[in-house]
Amino acid sequence: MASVKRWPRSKENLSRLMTDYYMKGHSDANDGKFVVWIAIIVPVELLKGFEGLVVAVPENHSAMCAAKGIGAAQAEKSEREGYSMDLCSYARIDMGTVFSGGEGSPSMGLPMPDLLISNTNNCSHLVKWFDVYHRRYDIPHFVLDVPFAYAGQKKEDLDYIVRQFRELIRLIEETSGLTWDIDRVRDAVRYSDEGNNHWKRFLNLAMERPSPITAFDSFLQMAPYITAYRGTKELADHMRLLADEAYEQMEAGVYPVPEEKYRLLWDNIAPWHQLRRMYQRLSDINANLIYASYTSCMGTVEGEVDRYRYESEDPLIDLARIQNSSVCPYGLGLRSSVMDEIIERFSIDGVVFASNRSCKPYSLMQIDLMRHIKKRHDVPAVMIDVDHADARKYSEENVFVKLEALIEEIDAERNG
Amino acid sequence: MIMDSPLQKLTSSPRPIIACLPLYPPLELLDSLGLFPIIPWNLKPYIEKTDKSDRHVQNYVCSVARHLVEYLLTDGLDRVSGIIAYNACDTLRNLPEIIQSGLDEQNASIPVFTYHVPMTGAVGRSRPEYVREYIKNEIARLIRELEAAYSVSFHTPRFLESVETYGAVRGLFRILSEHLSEGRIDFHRFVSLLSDVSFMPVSEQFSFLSTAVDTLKDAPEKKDGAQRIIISGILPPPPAVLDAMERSGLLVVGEDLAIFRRSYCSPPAQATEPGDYYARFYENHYPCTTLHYLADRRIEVILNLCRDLEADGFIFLGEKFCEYEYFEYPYLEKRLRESGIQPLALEFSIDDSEHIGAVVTRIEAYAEILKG
Repeated sequence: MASVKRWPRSKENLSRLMTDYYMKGHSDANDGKFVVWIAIIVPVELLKGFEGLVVAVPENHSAMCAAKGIGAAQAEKSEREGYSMDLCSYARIDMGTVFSGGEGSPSMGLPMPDLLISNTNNCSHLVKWFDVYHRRYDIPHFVLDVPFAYAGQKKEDLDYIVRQFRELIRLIEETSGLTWDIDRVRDAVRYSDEGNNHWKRFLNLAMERPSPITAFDSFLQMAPYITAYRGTKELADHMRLLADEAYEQMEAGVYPVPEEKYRLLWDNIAPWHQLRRMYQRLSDINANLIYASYTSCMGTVEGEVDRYRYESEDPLIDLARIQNSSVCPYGLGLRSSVMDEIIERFSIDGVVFASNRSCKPYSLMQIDLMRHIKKRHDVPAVMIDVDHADARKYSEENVFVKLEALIEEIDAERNG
Repeated sequence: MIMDSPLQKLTSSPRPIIACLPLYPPLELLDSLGLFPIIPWNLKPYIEKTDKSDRHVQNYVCSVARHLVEYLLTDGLDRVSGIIAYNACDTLRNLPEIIQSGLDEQNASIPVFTYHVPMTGAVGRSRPEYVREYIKNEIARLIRELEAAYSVSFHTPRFLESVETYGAVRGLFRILSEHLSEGRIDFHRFVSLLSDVSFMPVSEQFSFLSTAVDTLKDAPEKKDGAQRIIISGILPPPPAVLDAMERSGLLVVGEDLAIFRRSYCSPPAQATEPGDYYARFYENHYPCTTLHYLADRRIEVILNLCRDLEADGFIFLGEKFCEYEYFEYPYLEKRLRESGIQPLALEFSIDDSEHIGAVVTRIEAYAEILKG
């Protein structure tokens, strides 16, 4: 492990951004501003068209709870109200937090919403989860529906999504009394494009040997992207700072795994409750989880690794175009081609498929994806059992038996 | 291994058999194109192991998906000429490619057709016209693809005829449901009748159900003080559980099962062409946890069902791992209790037909509570 503190400016800025996001959300809500809860891929940039709208993202809050080690405690509160342990842990954590009025949450939860906006692209659990609040608290709920992309997003699906955006805009105007301004959205899209450029600059550092970044770094640094900061100058500036600082440190010879021998790819949501521990144990054996499909997809479209450039005259078209980008809304063929590209570009030695009990859409096709990878690339792969936010469903020793076996298999391949 | 089942009668079909992934496919359209649609679910009684399926599908996926993948990769290979799927749930939308991957392993190929059912909108509000236009275009595209794949042609009169026949079948189902609520048929027999129907061509379904309805119309009503129960879920419970309910004095008078009532009890859709028909079909469908825009209506429909059938209790059959059902159940349970209906939640997984001792005990205890 590097003895020099890694990226002090970016980390300090990240901490400040996230603290401000949670605190400002509460204070704005207390001032009577209209609060919207969204699923992560609902376009924040579109919502920036409404000045003063408060945007909160429950998934991000649940990830934070899990990372801070209180995910299970929050989840238990919803389980005591009859919600099955087999449901997504993000949902259980969030519902537990809401049902207890924010108690136990590092941010006192989120300000209660005036409108819920879910999205079917990642999963329909989000719809059912938001429906719980819709019914319990009588909060209007809009479902943004994104057709699954088996072979790329179709034109008619893009048109359908844009029409839904327009309907959503009308709904928010009606319910909030605010007026939507497309010029604000254009600015937001421009900032997102800029931010995505720097995000990809940052991620592409993983092509270096050794990699100056880890996938764990990307899991932490993605946080502001999935908050109200998307589409803001603050986020674009942060991403630039992050990429610049990471380059500087690389040039100064600071590496997270200086004796990197094994370059691994992670497929699934981040294991929030294990970030530090997993990084430590892997780096102890000179293994670096250098890249993750989960953070690679930010700023792309389905089936792509490179960033999508926001170039349409109508910003709603660009925002609709990226609705299939987040891995879960596209199929096996496209996921295979993305993984092919990543393995080649980033010189991946082994792939870790995290079979995530709480995310069937991400995990369901991993068995076939793993088979494809082994056949096409002759790269060892392993499947481990995780739950991204519920530590009760994670066994460190079981996971590391398999990860160590993966390392042995990589060595065996190298030694012929 | 596929055990003796209605599926095995499918070998001799003169029409190409199209396996429709659950839940609510466009049966009328497929029938009118000269195809034979089947929905391969409720295969639990017929499939002992899921070895082929397990090579492709994680074990935390529901039994419906695991069994239908098993079927399509084994017996179905020689019987099924096409697969059709829509975004019924997160698992089912991913299955087409997983199935194709399994077929590739066996150097087999079955064409797969997918379409998208719109789920958008503000929950509880009517949906705008563009949503209807979208599904119409999806259906038009599906027709073109099916015509090309099977060298068939769409004809509106044949479609309307299929709509009428399926409408008549649904009408017979509703009569059977009434017989169930009156105690003229027990739930065992009800399940058995409808399970047999699932894999028959619609013309045979009509004859079969007509005969069943005629046979039952003179059967005596049964109102003997048993505790009246509604059951809800995706699939019917294992026979041993039904036996336990009966022994405990519970009488199933109605059901809200996806495979039965939710499939058969939608109000008839009026239309002169398939796009419009299916726009209305999905928009006005009997509420299901998978149809997000109908979620609010579902609670009221269930409460009305309980009231209309004078139910004393409501048993939720949770099929692991159907999150759609599990997300809705706690709120539904609350509303049931507020209405004076005593609920019970049971849970089943893929191999639970063999391990139902605990379930039987709970049923017995529940029956005692209702009697008390």
